[in-house]
Amino acid sequence: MITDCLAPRRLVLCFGQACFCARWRLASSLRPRWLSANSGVARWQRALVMRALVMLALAAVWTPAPAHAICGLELALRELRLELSRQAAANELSAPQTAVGLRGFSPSATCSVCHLAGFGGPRNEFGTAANALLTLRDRRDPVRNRDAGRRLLEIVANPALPDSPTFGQLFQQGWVPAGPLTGTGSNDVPLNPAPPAIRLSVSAAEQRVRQAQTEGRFGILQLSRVQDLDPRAATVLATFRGETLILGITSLSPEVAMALAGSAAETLWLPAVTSLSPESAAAIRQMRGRLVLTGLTKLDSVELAEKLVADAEAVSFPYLRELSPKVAQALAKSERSLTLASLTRPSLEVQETLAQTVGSLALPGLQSLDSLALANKLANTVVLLPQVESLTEAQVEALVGIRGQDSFFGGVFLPLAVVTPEIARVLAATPRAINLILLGDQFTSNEVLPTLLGSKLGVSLPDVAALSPEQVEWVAAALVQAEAQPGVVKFPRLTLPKLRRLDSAVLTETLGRLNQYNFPGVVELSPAAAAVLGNFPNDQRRLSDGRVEILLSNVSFPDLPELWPEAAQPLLKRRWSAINLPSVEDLSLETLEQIAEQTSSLNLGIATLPEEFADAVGAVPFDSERGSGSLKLPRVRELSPAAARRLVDALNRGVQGLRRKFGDNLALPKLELGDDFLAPLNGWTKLPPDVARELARFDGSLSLNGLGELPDESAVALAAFKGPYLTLSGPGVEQLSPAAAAALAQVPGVLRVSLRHLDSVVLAERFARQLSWTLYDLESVSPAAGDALANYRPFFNLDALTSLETVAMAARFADGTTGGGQINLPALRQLSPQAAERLAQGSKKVSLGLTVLEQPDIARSLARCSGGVALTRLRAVTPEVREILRESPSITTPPLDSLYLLVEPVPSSD
Amino acid sequence: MSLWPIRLSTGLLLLLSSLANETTLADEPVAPPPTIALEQWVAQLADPRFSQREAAVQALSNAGPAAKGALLAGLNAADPEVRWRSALLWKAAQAVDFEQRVAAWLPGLDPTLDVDFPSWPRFSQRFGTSTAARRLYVEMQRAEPVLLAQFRGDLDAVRGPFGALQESLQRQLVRVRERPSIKLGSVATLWFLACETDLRLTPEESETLRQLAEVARVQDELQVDSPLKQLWLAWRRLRPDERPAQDRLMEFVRDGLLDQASIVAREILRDKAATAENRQYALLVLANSPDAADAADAAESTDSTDEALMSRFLDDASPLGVYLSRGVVIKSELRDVALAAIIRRSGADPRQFGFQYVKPGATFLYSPATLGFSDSPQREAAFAQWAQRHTP
Repeated sequence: MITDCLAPRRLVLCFGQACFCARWRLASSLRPRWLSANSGVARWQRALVMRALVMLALAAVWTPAPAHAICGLELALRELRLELSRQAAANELSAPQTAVGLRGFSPSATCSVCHLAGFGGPRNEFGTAANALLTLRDRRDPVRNRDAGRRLLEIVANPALPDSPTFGQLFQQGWVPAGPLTGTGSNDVPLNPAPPAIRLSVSAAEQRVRQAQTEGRFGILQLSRVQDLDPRAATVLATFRGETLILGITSLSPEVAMALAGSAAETLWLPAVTSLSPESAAAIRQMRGRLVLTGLTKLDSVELAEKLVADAEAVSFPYLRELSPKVAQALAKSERSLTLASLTRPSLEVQETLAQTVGSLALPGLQSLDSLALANKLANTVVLLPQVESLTEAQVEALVGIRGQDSFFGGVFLPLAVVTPEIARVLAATPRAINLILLGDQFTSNEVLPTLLGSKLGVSLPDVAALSPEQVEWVAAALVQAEAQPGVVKFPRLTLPKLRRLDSAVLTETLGRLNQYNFPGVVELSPAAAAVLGNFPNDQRRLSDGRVEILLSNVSFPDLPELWPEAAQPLLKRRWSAINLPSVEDLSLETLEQIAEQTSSLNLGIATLPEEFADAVGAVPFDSERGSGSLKLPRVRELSPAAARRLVDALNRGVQGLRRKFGDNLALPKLELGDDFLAPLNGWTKLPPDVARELARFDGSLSLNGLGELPDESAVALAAFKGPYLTLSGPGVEQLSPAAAAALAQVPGVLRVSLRHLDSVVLAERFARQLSWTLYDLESVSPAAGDALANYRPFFNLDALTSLETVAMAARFADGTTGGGQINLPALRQLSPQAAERLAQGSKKVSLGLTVLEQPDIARSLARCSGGVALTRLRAVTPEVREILRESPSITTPPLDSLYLLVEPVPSSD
Repeated sequence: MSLWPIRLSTGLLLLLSSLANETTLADEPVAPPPTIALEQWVAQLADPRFSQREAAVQALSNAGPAAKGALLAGLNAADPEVRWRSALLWKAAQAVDFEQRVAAWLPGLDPTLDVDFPSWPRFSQRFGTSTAARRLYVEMQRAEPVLLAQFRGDLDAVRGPFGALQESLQRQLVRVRERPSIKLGSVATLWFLACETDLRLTPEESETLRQLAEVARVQDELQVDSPLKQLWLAWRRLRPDERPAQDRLMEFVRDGLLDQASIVAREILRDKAATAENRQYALLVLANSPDAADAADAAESTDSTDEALMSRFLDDASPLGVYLSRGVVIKSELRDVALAAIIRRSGADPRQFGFQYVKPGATFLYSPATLGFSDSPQREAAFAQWAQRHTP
């Protein structure tokens, strides 16, 4: 789910490696009924069509957009981690844990940071907090994403605890803010007192409001460390006219509530308030704008509940422990979704009431389920009942079999402890191949596992670290005929993501066949298990001309820290199309040489590349039969010039060798160093000029990710790079010096740089000439560079652009090719009258992220846009602009009466 | 256009309609079966009415072992329907009979119980009569009953079927989808027959028998002290092992045969042509030979010989490997492995002598690549510490 900001190629890698089955599951959910096995359509025809569908699905995901997680909000997480690194560097603190080091979190599964089920659906505590600032409609606004990520750092992680750490502190210590359903629970989270509170005087409040309104132009004012508030200061803060006012107050007196009820902010978020007196509740619910109280542990006021539900799309109270029937009735009016994660033992009356919830309902903390009506209500695409203590057969029948539970976005989470033989039989009888996730590691009976495996279910046992020999026998017997064939849509029938030690040959063979030789969680590989993998025959395919093609497999051990020579030797007895060992830091040179002989695509987790290893690793991406492959060393942060020289020499020797066979048809190898996602937490990757000089000699495609800095001399050295692609990403290349930009402009191949600010005309001209568009992160362009960039002909997508000033750029948008035939600028905050006028001359639909519109001439121009204009983020206008908008039916805005009327010009952020 | 689909559909329709007629007949009330002889029930298997034939089948099934004689006669009946139904019933009866005999015999409670399992006397003579041995034999019976029945020590009788089974398993070995279906009983039968007869195996047959040890189910059995492992070792001992000493050493270590591994290890260490790489494994075997833990109590001659043998390599700086551990490059030489092995043999922990990167190995006591040093001073210090300890 995590994907890369720059290269669509890596997006596929992530889809292919991190959540490989997602493709199949996704495709499975899209599969029309006539493609089912018993439809009468020939197997090869079905396979052909399914492959076409998968390709279409991939093509859809491939569309050049800056959002790369499925929800598109992963930039917030990345920024959060980046900000932590900045703070650590500034305060000389220990560097935050790496993504790999985060307990319970895999960098390949960012969804689990926010979502309880790990792939979408109801949110956890962190997800609920993130949802207070971001919704799905923000996924195309990278500026907003990043801003939210920074702000979440200071939000208290669990307001129900007296000394709760903030989300930032949890990240700092390597804890996922709110863990997934499995593994170590939040009980083990170390408690750190939140940073010291700040007392806010009236004058300080005035100053903060003034400052926020000046800087943010109706943005966010965050005062998370203000835990106690004086009513007079509250009155001042209530004058803040921005989008969101975040206050860290832990209690809300009636006086403060009354003051804040008059808040001019669109949203008031009080994440640390756990309960309200009736008086406070009565006062605060009068607030005109949106009220968000995610920290409530107690909610007694029906009227307040109604207000909270009315204000939110996805309602979630992660800490709310008790509910009265009347409050439950109010919450049940939630039209979209309602999640009550801490509700454990509601009364039957409350259960029956919640069963009437209008939208979807999730009660992931529920321990006692007494109402069949509630079971029916909880039967959704995602069923989350990981804590429930018992279930009847009727309840299980109600919960499972729902459409979508067999898709990538669906699944049924139950404790293993409730799965009695009778329940197992009910589950097994489900006609759909649902994704069943059973938590815990104790089976109630020996019958359970064979029963489940004998069905169509896709069973995942995320807490089971080891199987007994008897269980292994059951698994092997049940799944001996099950298989995962390339191109044929099937669920993995059994996944054991926490299996630590792989030493049973039968289990290795069974899981290997079913999960395409992907073994997440395994930290120890025995030689016997490795021998099974190494001895297993390759799949074969008979071609139309009668020849037999050998189909090589990938092998992946994402969590294996060390590959012992005794295990490596048998494992590498056969050839693999790709070997994925992103956590392997320890290995012998001999093993590396064996790897180089048996694959042409390697992802290896070594943190440094010693000179002695450079030759061996440089021999990897070559296959005399198939051509070039790839070499990925995501954790390499530093490289000595000598190691770089030997590496490039070895790589270039390989290229020369293959050129003799393949000539110009040779697809050149790819070398990828560093990782953009991990970089912020592992310190900056440095690229000294002497290393850059060596790397620039590489003949293939080069990616240098997570660059912390790019000295001018290094950029000059890279200008000599002659390979087909040069990719540079990381904070160090978000803005280039004139010298660095001028140097990189000379690179003859395709240049991909994660630029956020572009002010170099020569570089802009350079980008305008190349076919491949890579500036998805570009936030600002100088007028001169913008004029040059406007000469770019293919699809022109600048979702992150915050300012559109020049006519040339506007003309390019209006007249040239754009994504979807529309002009989408969701992050735009500044628009010049000239640019607006030029946009209006086109016929495209225009969607702009403007929050303030005060110039009547801009409004008049936009009103002339024949394709229509969407200004859904608009917060403030002048009276004159409002009248223009009122007379312009082609412009879509929030209700005009809800907009702030500016009586004086808003200070510009400039 | 081919007319076959139409013909096929027409045929299917006719068949279905005839079945429908039979169903109508079957719906007629069936009179309660009178007490008649089993031979009559067999004869009734040819009755023109479906319901009557089914009733006969039911009656013969209910009769159990008593119907054995009648069914045997039915197998040779003139009527094909009788032969076919008798064969089905015979097969089912055999299966039931087999399971009943297995259930009674498997615990081994009654040594006088005669179950007439072919080849069991030969099997038990070699591999014992334990429950595990019986269980393996039952697996063999289930997988290859015909072959075992044919084998009564008669080489000629079994040569053809043996070859056929070997070929069949070889085909399964190389097919992704069939390999997991290879039965443990089939593998054991092949190994057993290869042990028991004077079969001169072709190189291909030998290779198949060897490759069968790599099948996952077999691998798991060979990891523990099981009858299958005894069978495997028995067959292996029979064939002349002319493989290089290193291959034999690795296999002995893998199979946990440390005594035999130690013999090969000494052979390697005495061989002047042996490579440093092979010697490192030999040293590690002797470091962990059965008497290593009780070195002081061991026979002095053997112990001193082994130690003297190992000490020869304390000056051998032949490079072995380069290992990357958490960013640190470790280089190992043969003398390093010799020192670590001698330290371990003395009962001490190499870590206490400066082997700070050492890690336990999966097969050997230590992962040999980790028995090295990041620089010369570290190495010199380790050797000096050992020398100091041994200085009187």
